[in-house]
Amino acid sequence: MASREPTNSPAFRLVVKGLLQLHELSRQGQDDSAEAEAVRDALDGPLSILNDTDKERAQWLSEDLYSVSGPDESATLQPMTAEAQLALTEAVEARESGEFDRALKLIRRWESYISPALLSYLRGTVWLDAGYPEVAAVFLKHASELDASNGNYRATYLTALDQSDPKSALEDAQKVINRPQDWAPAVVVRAADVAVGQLQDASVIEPVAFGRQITLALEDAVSRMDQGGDPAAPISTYGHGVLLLGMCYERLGDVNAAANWFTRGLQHNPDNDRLLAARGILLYGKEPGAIADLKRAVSVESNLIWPYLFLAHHFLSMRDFERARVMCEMGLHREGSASAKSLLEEWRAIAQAELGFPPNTVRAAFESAVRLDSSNDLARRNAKIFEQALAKHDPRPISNWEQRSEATVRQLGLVERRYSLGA
Amino acid sequence: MDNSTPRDPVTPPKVYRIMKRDTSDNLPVVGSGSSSELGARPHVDIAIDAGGNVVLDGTGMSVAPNWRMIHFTRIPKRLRHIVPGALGSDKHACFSMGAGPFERGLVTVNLELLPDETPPPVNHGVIAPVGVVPLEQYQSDLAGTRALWKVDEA
Repeated sequence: MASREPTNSPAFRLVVKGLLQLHELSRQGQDDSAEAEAVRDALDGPLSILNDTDKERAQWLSEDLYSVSGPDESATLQPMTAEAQLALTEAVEARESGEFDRALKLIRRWESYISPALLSYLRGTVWLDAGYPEVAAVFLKHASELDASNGNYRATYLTALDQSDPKSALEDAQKVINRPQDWAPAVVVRAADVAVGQLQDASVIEPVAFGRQITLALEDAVSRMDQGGDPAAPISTYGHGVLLLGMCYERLGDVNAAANWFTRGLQHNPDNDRLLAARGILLYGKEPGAIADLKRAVSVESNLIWPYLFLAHHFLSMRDFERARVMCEMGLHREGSASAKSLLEEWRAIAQAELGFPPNTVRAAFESAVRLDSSNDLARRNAKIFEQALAKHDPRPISNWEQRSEATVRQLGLVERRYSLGA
Repeated sequence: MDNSTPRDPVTPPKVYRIMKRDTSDNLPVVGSGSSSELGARPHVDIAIDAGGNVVLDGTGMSVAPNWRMIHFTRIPKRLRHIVPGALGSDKHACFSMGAGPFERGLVTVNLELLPDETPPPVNHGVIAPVGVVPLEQYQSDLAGTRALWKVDEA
């Protein structure tokens, strides 16, 4: 299919929502209810304006949903063949390359060779990657119910639920965190991820107590992984578990424990850029090793904005303006909050000014800093310092910049990157 | 074909509609409270003026030239082997009436088919009153077709 798929049209999204409702009503034996009729009536409009491709997608989604909502119609499971295995691999590759329709079609064609749990898991992961977590959650829940022993199914279900229904995801995560020993480590790590991500939510009662509970659950999971438990869990699960543990301790104010957990994770994988960034930020301005961590994160081409931002600040304070400028440029190519990017633009302007870049280039960077974050008063003041120096024809005006301290930048990084690192 | 005047009622157009099936006689259930009954929902399917008369503005009870062209969310689930994903109630059935082409034409003396004015293939139309009549008369005319419908899921 030529177009990027599935579509993101509002009508298609409405149809998807309605189909999920109808299948849920069908599962409850409410096909003939007034509610089901109302959903069908509401779907007439959106269905009428879908293009043929989207109509077909919606129709096949409905058909696939019968594997979840309908009576068990699965034919006898065929023994796996080399050809079927190849097709499944092809389906996974299609999903990974964004060819979601093809992936779903391949899965459908070979479904008689796939166990019902794996079938729902595969469908769920396709819809999750396609940006429809609400659909993914339905399939993944089914997969995890059919095979409760598979931690990966449950963990992926929690991911989908977190994206589609954060409140339910937190409730589900809390159940896991309350009894971590009942769950595979991968599920505990994912539950902790969901919980840490929502800790800032005002609805979380007693966040400190909950934070302690999360750390206990994570410590249990990491300990089991150390002992070889959950071999089916992805390799990244361990690193993510210790990252979350460190972040929890960081949040609870225990810097040493946080650093120790990051270190433990790095002993397993010295090039884990998230752990490198986490430890680097935690110890920035306190321990010289922090710079080495951040440099290593940059050397492995981390896609996080933070190593670049902290090194830009570091090089700026060392008056190494060219390296500061390069870090700013690299950081600005990463995804990050407007306030982080505002800092990078401000520091880029300062570095450019010191390096003798044309005034208009410097000015544009300052303007961009203010535009990105109107509360960045320092950028405004530094822009003024730059203009005043220009007016005085001062050849080396600059060194009077107002700078943020290492402690200020560290604090900002700890607060801002906490959740993006956990993602 | 001249679309401006109704056709001869001798060969009324063949139209399909998915409706609740009365198990006692295999005919559609008459009513105007649901989109799955033989009737038109006032102000939803058919426009009504302040005097309670139908408005001849192209609205009316929905029909299709073939049951496969009806949204799959309404096609009974038992027909999934023909239309994948069909999600309608199995208590409903695909009914048809008439034999002629899906073109503007009289269905009965008081009712006519108005196909949507969209580029071909046209997949939807309405059964509308031929003239301005009270809503009750229109509903009665629709109900009067009940015996003409037959389950047709081929």
